[in-house]
Amino acid sequence: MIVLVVVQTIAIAILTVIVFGLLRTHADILRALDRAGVPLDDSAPASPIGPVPVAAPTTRSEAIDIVGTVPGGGPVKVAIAGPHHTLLAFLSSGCRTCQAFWSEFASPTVDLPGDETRLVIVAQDPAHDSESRLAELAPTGVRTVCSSDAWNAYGVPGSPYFALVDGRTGRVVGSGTATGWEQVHGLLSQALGDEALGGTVDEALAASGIGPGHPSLYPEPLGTDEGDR
Amino acid sequence: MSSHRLAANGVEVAVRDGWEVEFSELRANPGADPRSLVHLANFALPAERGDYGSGAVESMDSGGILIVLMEFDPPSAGGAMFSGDAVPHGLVAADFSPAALQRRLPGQAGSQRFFRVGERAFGLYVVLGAHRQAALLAREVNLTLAGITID
Repeated sequence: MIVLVVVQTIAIAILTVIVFGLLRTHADILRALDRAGVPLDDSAPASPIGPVPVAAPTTRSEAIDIVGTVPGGGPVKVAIAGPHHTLLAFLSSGCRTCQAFWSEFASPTVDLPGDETRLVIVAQDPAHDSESRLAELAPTGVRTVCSSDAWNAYGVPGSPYFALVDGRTGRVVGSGTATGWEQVHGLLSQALGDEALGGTVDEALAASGIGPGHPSLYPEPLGTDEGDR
Repeated sequence: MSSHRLAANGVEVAVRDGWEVEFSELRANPGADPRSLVHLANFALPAERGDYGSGAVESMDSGGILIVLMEFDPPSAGGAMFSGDAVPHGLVAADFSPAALQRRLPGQAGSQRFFRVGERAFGLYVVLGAHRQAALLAREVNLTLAGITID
């Protein structure tokens, strides 16, 4: 009888360890899926995370400096202002699409759109990403910063995501994402071209004296004339 | 002054708009206590730099300023070299000279000071992008130094 109780106790202990192990593995998988931007709730609306076309903003958005920590290092602040563009690449260590960008940015000859463009990779804080993995992935010579505040400030919907900032105006020229660097580069170049041609739609309208509330923005509906009846 | 205040190892910096900062640690060996190294610049600091700013000073323009705050081993604080007892301030154009540069580049000038705060010993190394603008740039240096506090 005593032998049976002992065997049963040992069996329960082993099963308990196995169950806790499975729960932990499950939690790790959920965290990894969350980092990768994979929605877990089937009833939830489609996640905004995923490729978003790069485009010039319809209204110019202010850029802010990046304040955070270097992966495996100390506090850091990266200033956006200056006679150059800054390409902010919001990447994660665990997202599959990001792997191509980590590899691309490791190349010393990577071609960046804009004037003397500086590449800054922005990851989430160590509480939301693997700091040791980020330290491994950070390309030599490329400024890499952990800053969840920057993700919030730039409205990053998920990784990868890019924002091209003009340091002379302190504003975002274009932002969005795609699955490959060639595509991102092309679309950001288009945003730069649009910027050079005439700025934003709001600015073009303002230059013509058309602002919020202008009558020309609210034309009379068709079919109200007597002749149309 | 900017609202960004960053700190590590008892060194706090109020970072001005347009300036960058990076804190790192120096260790004589893996088991040794960390010593502070702070780089401040009013231009884009490259990710890879030497302790005294090599790799960064090459990219400075005439209005560029690099400030290096380097902590030395605590026993150094008792040495005669560390005569100051606070973060230096009130630098003037005459404090800067090309001869003080760790890496001499045309047009640039540098200044170096040693001081202690309590039991901690520090060296302050400043590089200006243009010696001829030392009077103007020294004022910017002093504004930035005023934002540094050490426990």
